[in-house]
Amino acid sequence: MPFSAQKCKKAQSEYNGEIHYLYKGGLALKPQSFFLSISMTFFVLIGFLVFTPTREVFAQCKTPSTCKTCHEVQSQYPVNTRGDWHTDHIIIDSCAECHGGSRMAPDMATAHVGTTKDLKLMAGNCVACHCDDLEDRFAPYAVQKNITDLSFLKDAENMAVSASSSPFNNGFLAPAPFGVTAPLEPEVETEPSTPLNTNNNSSANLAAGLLLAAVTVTGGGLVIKNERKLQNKQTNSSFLNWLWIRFREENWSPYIAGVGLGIVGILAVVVANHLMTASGGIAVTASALVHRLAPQTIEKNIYFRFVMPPAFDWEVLILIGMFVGGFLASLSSGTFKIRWNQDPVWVKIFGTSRLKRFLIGFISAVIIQYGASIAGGCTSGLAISGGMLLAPSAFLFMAGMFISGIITAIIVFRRRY
Amino acid sequence: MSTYLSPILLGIVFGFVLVKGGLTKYGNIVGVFRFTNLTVIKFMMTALVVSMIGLYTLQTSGSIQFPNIPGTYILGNLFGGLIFGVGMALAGYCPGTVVAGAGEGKLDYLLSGLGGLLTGALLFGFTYKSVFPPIAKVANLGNVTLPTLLGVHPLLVVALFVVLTLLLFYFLENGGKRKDKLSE
Repeated sequence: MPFSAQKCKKAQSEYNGEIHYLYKGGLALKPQSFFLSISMTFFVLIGFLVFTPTREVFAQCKTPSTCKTCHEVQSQYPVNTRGDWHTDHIIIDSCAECHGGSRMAPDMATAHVGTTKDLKLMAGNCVACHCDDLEDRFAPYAVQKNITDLSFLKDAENMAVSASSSPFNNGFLAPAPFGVTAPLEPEVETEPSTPLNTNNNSSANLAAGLLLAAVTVTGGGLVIKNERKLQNKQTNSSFLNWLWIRFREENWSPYIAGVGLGIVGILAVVVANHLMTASGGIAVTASALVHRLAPQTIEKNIYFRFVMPPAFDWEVLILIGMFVGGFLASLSSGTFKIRWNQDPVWVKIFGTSRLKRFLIGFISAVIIQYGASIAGGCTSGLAISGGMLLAPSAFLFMAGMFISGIITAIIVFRRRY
Repeated sequence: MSTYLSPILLGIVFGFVLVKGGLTKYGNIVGVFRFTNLTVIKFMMTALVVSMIGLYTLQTSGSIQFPNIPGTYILGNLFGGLIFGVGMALAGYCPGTVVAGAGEGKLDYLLSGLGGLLTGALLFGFTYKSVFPPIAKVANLGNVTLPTLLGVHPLLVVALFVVLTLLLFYFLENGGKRKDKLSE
């Protein structure tokens, strides 16, 4: 028997048919080279991001402004609810782009240097984004605000054209063309300010406190009652014993893993003042691809230009880390293997067809990313990151996810649900 | 350098616990929607409670300020969740677990998962203008949190959430799941 055939046979018996087809048909190491090429493609995509010059404007747009920290998060003089003008523009976090001031300043005084509420001054900034149809766009707001003389818009357009023929290269967030940066008198806020944590309604606090006490007492009573019942039957070990057994298991208990994720969530905020995200990174990667491969299509695309501008920062780097983390985790438990996943539950419902897995997986992934983009984040970026800050959006998202998930599972599993 | 290092290190731990917690398995994800396998619920709620306690303790003591809180626009959050759930129950993954699962060497996560997510992002980008702003304008509450919305001290809300979650865990551990008809 030739050596290679002997080796082949040995490999077959050792791996029990898992890798034997590597030697079939003379194409050695086929899956490995396949995985290698796919991984290479993945990292080349990331490479696009590295070498795509990150414009200053994009970097500035990307980071949430500090305006929101006070105005919205701490509810000091909130503007989100103040007419269509603000709700239309809050989506791209563009307070400073219209009103001037510095969007990343750490304190109120420096942030407000150069801010203005004068429409004539701000019109120059409008042109940076809305170069073609400023008057049409302004018309509905003019009606709301009772503005009849729109000539200042025309002036702004003309001056912008004479200053630069291409607003894309020169306009957005460039030094404001109309002297907005000149320091103005600090504005006196007339609205009552309600900073976070001093907004304590005593009756609401009392009600929440009573609810907490009631839930603790009744819940605790139920637990003790049930625990006693179980111990009488001698069917369950003590809590500490249970904890210890879980702790020693090779597969982590979801509670231990959950604590790990919780600590990561805290560290992300403490170290970098960021939230953990996943779908955001996918969107930024897609944006980088569009910018690279079809730059002319993004001229009028608000999403890829302003909402998700390409930047090789937080979101994308987390994805790379997660890829490596998954690799290390599977290495540590000895489960790393390049394969098409054959989950036992999946096989019972859909069979072993790879094409089926690919098609259903692909379509689902499209749906997942689309849904996450509408909701403002995925399970990581919204449900967990928003939930830990007690944002109502996170709980709305989870409710929607569970309702449609349960319905889908019923349809897929039918009698075996 | 730390601007590059910290997200990568945090991402590594994130991907690590996702795999260890069993989040990259189809059966575990779909088990949540069938109430036969509630691993993912336990994982997520633990993460929520731990980070919630940590962050709100730090914030009320004045050590940190919250980053940009995810905006609440009731229709969009709910509608997006409804769409998201369909895909999640069908394929058994979400954006985070696709990336971590791809690191495990799962080709379906790498090819169909990442490919589909990127396609979805492109699709959303090119339909953004006509789809997103109308939805986001409905019932837009801004970047609020439940405590500010209700006017309650944040630590009270956190405490209530923690107690409720612990109760949920207790009953999940004591037979709070359905019989799996697949194993018959």
